[in-house]
Amino acid sequence: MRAVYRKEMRQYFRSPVGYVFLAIFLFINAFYFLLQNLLVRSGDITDYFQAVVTLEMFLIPMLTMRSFAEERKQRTDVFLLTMPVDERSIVLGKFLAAESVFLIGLGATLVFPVILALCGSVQPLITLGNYLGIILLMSAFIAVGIFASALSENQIVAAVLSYVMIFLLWYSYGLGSAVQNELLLALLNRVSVMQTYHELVMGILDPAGILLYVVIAFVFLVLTTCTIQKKRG
Amino acid sequence: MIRATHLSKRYGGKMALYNVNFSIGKGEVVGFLGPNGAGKSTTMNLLCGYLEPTWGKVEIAGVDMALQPLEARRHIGYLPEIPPLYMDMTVAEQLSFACELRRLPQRGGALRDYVDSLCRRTELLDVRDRLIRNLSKGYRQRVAVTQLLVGSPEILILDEPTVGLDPRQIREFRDLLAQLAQEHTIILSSHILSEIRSSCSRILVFNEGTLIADGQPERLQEELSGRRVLLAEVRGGGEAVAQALAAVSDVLSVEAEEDGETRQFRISHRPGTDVRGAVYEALKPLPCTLLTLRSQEVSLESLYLEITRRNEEA
Repeated sequence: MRAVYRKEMRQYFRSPVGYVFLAIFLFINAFYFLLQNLLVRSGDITDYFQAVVTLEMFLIPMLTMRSFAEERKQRTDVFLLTMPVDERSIVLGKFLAAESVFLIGLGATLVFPVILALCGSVQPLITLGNYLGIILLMSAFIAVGIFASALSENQIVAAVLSYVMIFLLWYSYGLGSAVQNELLLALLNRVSVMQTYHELVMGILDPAGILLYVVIAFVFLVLTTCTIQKKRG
Repeated sequence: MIRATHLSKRYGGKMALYNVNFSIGKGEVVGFLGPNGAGKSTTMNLLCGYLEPTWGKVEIAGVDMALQPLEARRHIGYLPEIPPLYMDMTVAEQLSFACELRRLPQRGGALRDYVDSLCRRTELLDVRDRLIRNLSKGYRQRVAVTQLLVGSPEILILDEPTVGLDPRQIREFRDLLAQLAQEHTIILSSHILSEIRSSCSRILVFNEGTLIADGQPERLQEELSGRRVLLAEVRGGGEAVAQALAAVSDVLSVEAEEDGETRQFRISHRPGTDVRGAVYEALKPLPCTLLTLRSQEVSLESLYLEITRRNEEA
């Protein structure tokens, strides 16, 4: 796993992908921080996180679309899959590398709560909830993106598939209005990615919500492993 | 070292490989021969564990590929037709990555020394820090072969390894292969028949997903054509020579070709028989001179053409 992780990290920063992702990520975050906090003199970091999340999640496929698609296109998947390494290690290595690039970008935004603290006051639990929420949410979406990348050898197709799946997961809450059955409605709300995120950014650290993101990430990583194994058969 | 039992592979509704059985011993250099789509690459993909068989079993060094894939793959180095190289890595990075995947214990300076020793062996030291995308096709192929040697797996499987190389590079590759054959069991597929002939002591012939022949090149020609050929160069004698030759026991057919003052007779006879003495005796009473008498050299080209012709007719 470590070998794959190191290789992926090297490739992110050997090519423009890592730098372009970080540049756009930081630009969007800085822009929204300026818009939601600095210009309106607001110390509430939740406004910034709620505004920036939808744009961030549509950046994720940019990071993950090449993951397996490029390996298959360049036929380097043959190399990986004939080495004495199991599929889980390969998937996990790629997932952790994409996660690391995202965390590098997110780490840079820690300067924002510091600025707010210097200018006024920051609520630590709310800030923690916001960061935890976005890390868990994006981890789930990175797993979705990696899965989409394993489905196609075309990066664009992989990106489009990621967008569709992320869109459906994020907006599943909206489907609730079309459902008449109360039990189903309650279930949809319970597993709603968006609803859980809004709770986290409000500082409500609900274990069920945290578990939901972990389960989504786990399920999609397992699906990715199964997809690779199935291609052998 | 390698045992394939009832190996079959289905892609969608099409059988790409059907009930293939063979075993390969330690130190053998085996060539896979056959037209495109015959099942050579599919067999190689199954042997190296990239694909799983629909039916059947692959055993590598006594290890069942289906039950212990990681242990089985540890014994194999596989070079597919398109070298699996990361274009944005340097040669040293690519080889280090292969070392890490094979979990070689080398670290830091030791890893560097190991990579350097590999580069030295395949004459890659000059380009060890260059990006692979900037290397020529020949160098890339050499990097791919060097990558095979990481961890020194006992079995090397090479699918069309000389495709796209120029004659000088092909010659260099053959020399390298000869070196490797001293330490490894090698399976090689190629369309260049002279390459198979010069490198391999045994050939497996595939056609339409089945293994149709397995043996030494000389014996394969006989088995596949169902006949052996003797070439006789004769001066004089007229038409009686052909008649006398055709009358020899076990001779199946005689074809004559004028060559200036002499004639070349192509005498086809049943495999497993030696008609040289009888041919000599048959010509002795005739007013002719037998200049040469020799068995026709095994021609893999004719073998290959025979297989592809049958394939097209089918």
